[in-house]
Amino acid sequence: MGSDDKTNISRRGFHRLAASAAASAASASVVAAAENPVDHRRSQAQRDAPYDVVIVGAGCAGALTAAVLARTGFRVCVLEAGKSVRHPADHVGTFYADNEKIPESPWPADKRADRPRVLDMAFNFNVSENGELTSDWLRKKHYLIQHGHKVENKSDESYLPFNSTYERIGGGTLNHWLGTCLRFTPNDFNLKSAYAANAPTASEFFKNAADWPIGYNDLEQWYCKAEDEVGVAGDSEGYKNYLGASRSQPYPMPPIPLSYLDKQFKDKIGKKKIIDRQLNVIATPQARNSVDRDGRPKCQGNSSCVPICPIQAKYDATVHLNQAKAAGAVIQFQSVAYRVEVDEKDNNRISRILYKRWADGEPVKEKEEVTAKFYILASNAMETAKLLLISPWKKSENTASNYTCVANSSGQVGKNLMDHIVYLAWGVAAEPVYPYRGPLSTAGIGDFRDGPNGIIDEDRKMRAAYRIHIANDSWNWPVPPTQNLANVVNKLIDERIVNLLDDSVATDKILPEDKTKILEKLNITQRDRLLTKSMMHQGGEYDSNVTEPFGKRLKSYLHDSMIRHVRVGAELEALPLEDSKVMVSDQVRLDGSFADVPSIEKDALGIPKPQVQYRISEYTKKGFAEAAETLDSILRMMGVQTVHAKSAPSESEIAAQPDGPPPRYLPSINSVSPAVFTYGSKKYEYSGAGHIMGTYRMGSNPEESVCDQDCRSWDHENLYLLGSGVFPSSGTANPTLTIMALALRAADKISTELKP
Amino acid sequence: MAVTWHTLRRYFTGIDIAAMRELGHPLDDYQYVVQNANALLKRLADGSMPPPPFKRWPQNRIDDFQEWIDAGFPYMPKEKDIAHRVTRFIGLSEYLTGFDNLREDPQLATKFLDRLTARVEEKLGIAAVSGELKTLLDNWDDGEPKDVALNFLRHEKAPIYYWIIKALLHVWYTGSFLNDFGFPEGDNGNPDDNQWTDGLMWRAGLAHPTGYSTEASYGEKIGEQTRHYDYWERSPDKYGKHTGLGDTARLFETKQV
Repeated sequence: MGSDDKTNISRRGFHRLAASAAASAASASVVAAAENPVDHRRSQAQRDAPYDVVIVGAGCAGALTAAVLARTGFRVCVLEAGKSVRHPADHVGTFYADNEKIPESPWPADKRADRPRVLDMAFNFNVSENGELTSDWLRKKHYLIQHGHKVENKSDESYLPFNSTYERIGGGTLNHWLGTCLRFTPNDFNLKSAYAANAPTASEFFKNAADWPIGYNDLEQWYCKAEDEVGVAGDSEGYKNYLGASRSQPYPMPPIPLSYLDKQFKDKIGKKKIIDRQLNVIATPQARNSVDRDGRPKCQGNSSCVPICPIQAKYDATVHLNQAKAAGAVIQFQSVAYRVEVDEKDNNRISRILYKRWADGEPVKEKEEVTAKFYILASNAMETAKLLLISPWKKSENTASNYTCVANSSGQVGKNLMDHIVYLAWGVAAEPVYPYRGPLSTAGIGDFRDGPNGIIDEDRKMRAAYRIHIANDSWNWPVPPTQNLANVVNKLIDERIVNLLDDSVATDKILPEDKTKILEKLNITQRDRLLTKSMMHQGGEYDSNVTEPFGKRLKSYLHDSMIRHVRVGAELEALPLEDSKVMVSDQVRLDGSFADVPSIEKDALGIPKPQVQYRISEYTKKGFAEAAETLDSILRMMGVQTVHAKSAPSESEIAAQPDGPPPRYLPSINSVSPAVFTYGSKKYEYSGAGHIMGTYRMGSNPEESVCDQDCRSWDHENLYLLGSGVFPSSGTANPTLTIMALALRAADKISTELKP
Repeated sequence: MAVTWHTLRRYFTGIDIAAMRELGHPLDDYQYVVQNANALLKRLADGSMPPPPFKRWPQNRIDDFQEWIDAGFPYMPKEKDIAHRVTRFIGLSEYLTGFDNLREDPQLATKFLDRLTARVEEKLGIAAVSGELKTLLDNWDDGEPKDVALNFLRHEKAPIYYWIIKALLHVWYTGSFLNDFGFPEGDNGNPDDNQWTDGLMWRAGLAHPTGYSTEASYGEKIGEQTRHYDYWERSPDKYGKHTGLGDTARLFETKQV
């Protein structure tokens, strides 16, 4: 039996694991309940409101704002459409068991708070139950109604599939985010004046581009606060004035160490140039503990950050949701807001929010209401836009629905829908890189985002900027390991069968026609054999006459291949386009009713479904095409012979090179994604980044924007709109840190106004 | 089948193991758990391990732990307790997968054989279970490998044998099966069984299953100083170090002792 020291196991070891639960309690203890402030400028209705603030949506902006305001002592209520989420350790078993391993895999789904899924976009998009494409079938099946060309079977590509998803659960989409915490560059806030105004030939690109009403320096202190709230691990020295973005504070934690794989990239491509641009591999700042902090443990490199960090080393919004609750906020789950109402007699202030409350085994409470002094809509850019669009404010002759919805005197609500579309490229490197270890991504290349030190990047006047990430999780995103490995196994079996039959023919055990018959019976085609041969080439020296037993050959091939799998990706800047938008049925009545209108497509609670009409600008497509070339060059530097692309080679291409060198591009396995656009003479498949932006943009002019620089609606002084829906342009960074910085800034403003 | 080390090791989560490994308590090390079995059982039973917010072990697992101690810490089942079909299945599986240490965990082999049998019945019919699956298990090593393989290929039921062999390899390597379109189908077994983490692909790739790392930091003595580093900064070795699983994991190569 072990000594006391050995057996005193749980005290120290589990102390830090248990600390995440303690974190919320700790934050609760420092909050003193403030006296309810009274604002004498407010109307009677406002003063009588039971809450100071009602927040719709418990994601990154909503949870953080709720925590900040509740900690200050204000009475806060949060309405969350979906279910609550427990510690990730309680959900990881669902992730293990689910074969799909998609971003939505671990999280509790319910049709009453429905959301799009990755597989809606990819596999089911263009296949109906009877094998035919019908938009009716898709509209019934999917929560998010898409008007992309594949759905409606149009031949042109005016409208494309929107390829990003989101969660509707406690903590929102941050439950499955990666954790990247980049700041925008100073020029990201000035797209119009820095780039559009001086673009030589591309003015058409920028027709709807806008500058932000605030600049980088206005947000810098809030970036620092956001980094502290979520806990960002980053390279303070490396990001000192990075792309012109100054820092007044160091990162709260040292960076997550670069992976072995990152170091291989750094060795092979660091300090090289592509298109006259110096490449610098730099550690990615991320909301992931590099040391034990705030009651959450340091990262253990589970390589499953999307969709779940089993130990919650990665920040997610349940952290602040728990803090808000501990500080006295009311968090009401399974409560789906469906109308925001305006009191025109009270200076067009918001007077209440109506919602439906659902619970298992109970009838839905169809018409609940909540009132407050201030209202914050903090769902994502899809759901907040939908809620506004189904909330009539006043009659209008100029809209199809005959009403102007809440906050929409500018007509901009729902428009300018953007995402950072992603180009993925993968292959087998010349040397081992040992993926599937460590966080999903620990480094990237930012040199295509903007000019060094903030100088104007001449290329960005002509094409979208992009950021490159290096993946530690092998080909997991484009080709999940189960799918990849099982298909490799199939090909190796086929290879071995063909070899055995050749050998048997050569030794007169069977006749040549027997071989043909057996291959036909097993449906092993010439095409399969050529693809197998191409695939085997990338696994190193190809010897089809191997004599080792099948199992040993399989094991050694898989080993040799897997340890050299690399993948990179590029996220593209987007431009706002007026007809790229979130929509709802135009049949909602002026009084806000929709229940008895059969032509409106509704979700399980009878609320109109969101609809999307999505476009990608030529500016972004041009950047995408360049990014594809850049990633190709980077993979070449890593010794990748064959880059995987998602469009399958034609039969004639395969037939043309049966004995030649391996093709430069190989098809991914069974790709059926409809997310494809044509640029020049090439087709490109894109993925979504999950960055839904732009649908209630902020600005300095009420005629052209939905909210002001503080995220306050121009039309309703007690309504704030949070989230990346306020972004006038997409910038070149993932949106979360900027969302949180803006949320903290807005919370500060609201606090000031609520104080007596 | 009696409770063995391979029953128990799945009860510890990756989270448990990683946290404790850093402190010198490797819960995935058979020898360590044997030496500390009573202390561990006590903490598991009184609920102090694992602490909140992690779930307490259900009583049946604690009972299993006690049974394992009472039985003298068996590492694996006795040969006489392993069904003949499982033994045959392990032999075929080792031949096809190239891993020669599958026999260490007959319980996992039993689960995979049960799943394969159900899959064959679902997709090919009950007759294929008593027919081709049984024939394959009985005869895979009946002669020179090349001759045996050629006989199966020349058989009129060759497509069925071909299908079964592929499915067998899929479940061993990935913990799942593919549908007719080449996509994973169904699930990775019971979440409690944790079969995702047993896929041989992770061992082939010298990596840990996604969502299941059991090691984090290492301390390296350099003179008087200790430098800490995370396992993913270094290249892994074939015996488990820096794979994210630690060097007590089931391995790509069987370590020569």
